[in-house]
Amino acid sequence: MRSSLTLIIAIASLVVWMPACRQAAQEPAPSAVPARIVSLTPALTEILFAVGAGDRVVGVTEYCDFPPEARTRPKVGGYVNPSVEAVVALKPDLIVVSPGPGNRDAALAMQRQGLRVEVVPAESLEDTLAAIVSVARMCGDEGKGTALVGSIRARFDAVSRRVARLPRVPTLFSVQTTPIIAAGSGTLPAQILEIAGGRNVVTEPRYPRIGLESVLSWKPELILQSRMDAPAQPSSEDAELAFWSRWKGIPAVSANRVVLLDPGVGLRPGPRVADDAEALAAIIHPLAGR
Amino acid sequence: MRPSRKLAGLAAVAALSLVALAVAASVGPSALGVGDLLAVITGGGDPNGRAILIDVRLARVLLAGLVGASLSAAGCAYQAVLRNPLADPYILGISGGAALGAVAFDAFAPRAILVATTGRPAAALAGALATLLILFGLTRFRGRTETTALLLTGVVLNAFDSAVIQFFVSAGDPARFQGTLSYLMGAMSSPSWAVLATVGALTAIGLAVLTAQSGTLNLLALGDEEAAQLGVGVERATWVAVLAASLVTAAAVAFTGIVGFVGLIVPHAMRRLFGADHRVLVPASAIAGAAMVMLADAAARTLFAPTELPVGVVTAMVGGPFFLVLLIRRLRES
Amino acid sequence: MSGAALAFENVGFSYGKLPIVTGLSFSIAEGSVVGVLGPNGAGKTTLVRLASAALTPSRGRIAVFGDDLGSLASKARARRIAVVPQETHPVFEFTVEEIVRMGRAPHLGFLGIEGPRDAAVALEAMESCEVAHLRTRPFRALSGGERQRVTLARALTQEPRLLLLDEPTAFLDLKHRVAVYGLLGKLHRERGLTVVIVSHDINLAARHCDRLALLRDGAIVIDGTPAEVLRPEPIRSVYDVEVDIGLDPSSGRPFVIPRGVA
Repeated sequence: MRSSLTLIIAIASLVVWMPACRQAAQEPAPSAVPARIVSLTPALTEILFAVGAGDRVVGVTEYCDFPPEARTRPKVGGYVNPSVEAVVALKPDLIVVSPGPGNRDAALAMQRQGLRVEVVPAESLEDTLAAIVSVARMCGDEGKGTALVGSIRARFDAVSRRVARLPRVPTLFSVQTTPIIAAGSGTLPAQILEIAGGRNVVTEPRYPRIGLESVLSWKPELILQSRMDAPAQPSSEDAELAFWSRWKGIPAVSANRVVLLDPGVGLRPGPRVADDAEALAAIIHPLAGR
Repeated sequence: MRPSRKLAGLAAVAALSLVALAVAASVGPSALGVGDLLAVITGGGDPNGRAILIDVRLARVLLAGLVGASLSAAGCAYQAVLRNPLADPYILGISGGAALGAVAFDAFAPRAILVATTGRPAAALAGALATLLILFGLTRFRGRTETTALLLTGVVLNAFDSAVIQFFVSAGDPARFQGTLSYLMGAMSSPSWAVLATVGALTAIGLAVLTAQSGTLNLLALGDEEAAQLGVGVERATWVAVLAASLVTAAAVAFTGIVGFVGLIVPHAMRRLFGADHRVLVPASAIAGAAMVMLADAAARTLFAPTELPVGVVTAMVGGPFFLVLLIRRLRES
Repeated sequence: MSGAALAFENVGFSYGKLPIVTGLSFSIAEGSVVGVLGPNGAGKTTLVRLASAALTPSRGRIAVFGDDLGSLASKARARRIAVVPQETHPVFEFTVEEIVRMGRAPHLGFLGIEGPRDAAVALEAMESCEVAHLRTRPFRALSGGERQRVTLARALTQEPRLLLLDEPTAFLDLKHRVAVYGLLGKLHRERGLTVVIVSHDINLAARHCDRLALLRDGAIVIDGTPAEVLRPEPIRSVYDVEVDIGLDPSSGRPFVIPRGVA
């Protein structure tokens, strides 16, 4: 019975997207290499640039801010509710999108306009690596994708080796604080922190909303706190730090191991997962050396 | 019911409420139970257990109790003033204003300056008070206030606030508003003792005023003209009741979001037990309401532990069917 | 000492631009029982509402036992004047006793705490109106006649000096009409109340009232004793009805026999 609600929601969202996914898998690869690509998901925008298709990207969402060149491309709306009109006006020959709350209708509408929409799930680590390869393939050069994935995996292995013999640090990855939403098992942040030498104290799947009492009883020694948008320097007045500092009963708090992450770290399914793993490893095991 | 029986009934409700408090403080996602609670209260127990039971659980249970008392007493007052048994504390738009304040805070506030645990509630309180001012300004006409005007303005305000909130949430970065959406469904947290004291003070003031006004509420419930003929300064009495009820509602909503059904159901249930005399009804509703929300919050914390449900979800799921039963019984009787 | 319980001096009231009452002047002596009669739309209910301060006159002055009505505080006014409306529909399930005890409100202090005297006054009022046996029943479950007596008991609980009744028998059957008027008469005798009854029931009013006033189009056409007022010409001019007048030997009062539309 535990978390049956979250499970039901997860299954429901999969069921909703499955027809679209199947369709994408069954379509034969078009002969021409796409020249005008629109991305409706920031993670996919990153991937496009990383596999060398950046100059062919003609439209991005307002939140696609990496790499910096992505910001110069025309905007087509948010990633929850992109504008079908804006996309159609750009005359793209490829649209890539990850399933998300709210963008399904827009994606279907674009498909009905006769545009080529490719649904590329990119939530978990495996999805992300697979996405890099499939996006590269769609853009005509699968090799670039495979190479990138190869280098990412190599970096993961390097990190794993470094922390292999060190004790796993019980860690809580907190997405937000009021109320507390934590990264559960199987989520991207959880997978990255486990590579980086931590042990996720949250065994629930997906992103459960949890109470302080649970955190106190799990006794995490490290809390990785995500911030939505943040000033360049974290300061001690940050709301999240103030929130955690009340609860000295949490080992992470009393040992001063509540770390404010730069915005997006651990939560962006894209080429930077390797950067994030290295960053988290440096936080989790600061003395492990490079 | 004779006065002595009513007093005994009140005492019984109060006793049950204390039991609810004890039960709520004894359950939680960690393994700590009644025994640990007793140990901690009597001075023993380990520090971590102490932190969990007192600072996390007990503080939260007390907040839940204050919220329940506020919403139920406010519900009584609104139902009397508006002469409508279907009125709830949110009907005049106070909750919409508070929610809008909270959302605006999440949208605009520079985060390093205002701490989320007091900044957002302060903004919500400001939103609620602004709504009250608007109500006061819009519905008074030549020194008289029509309750119909109050009702309609409240409905419009709620709708407007809803729309603006939707605008913020859809036009803004969704990541920013995840917390807000949870808050809107009723998010009980473990308050600091300073926050608890603030809410406690606001609630105490509001409840004191409403209880003192409860005799007048009886008269207002008869109708403006009849109340006036019985010596009530209707205009003033209406606004005192509305202000006090709105104050406690605003305090509740500001800190814990919108917990629904409590302000609607508890007065109804208490009316069935104690009759319509507000001098008994208001205190009885406050006590019973406290118990209801304490228990609802306990359920929200433990049913799917460690995942927490929003309290509003529990009160709606319990309150909805309960209200239907009450309605059906009433229809059958008449 | 018999002063004016209620005095209207040139009172005018308009509903928006529509004048309801114009130049209304009359005075009701303390201790009298006055019946206010007239066709629908004559302004009878407006008169009662003006007298109870539910409405504010646009012109003129109303005095209650010598004091300007507008200058009285709500509670002070409610201790002098009590109103029995045509109907009362409480939204909640109050018991008879709770309704009656609300009449003590003008006498209670800030917190509204009742004392033993308050309970005694309420009980006595219920007994006078013969509803004491219904005290624990829900008000909404009573018949029209019983409700009217309860509302009357509440008015008495205010311990007023002036009692205003707005068509108290409008929804009652014959038995209850007779009973209410009989009760009013008894109360007037026992307590020396000044009673003003707005009524459609000419004959019962004639039998029980000392004075009658006939209203039409917001003004008093004629007032005086029943014998002075109930004659064919005034009745024709007010009601547009041809009548014969009879004399009731047991009461010595006239009664009206309608013959046809004028």
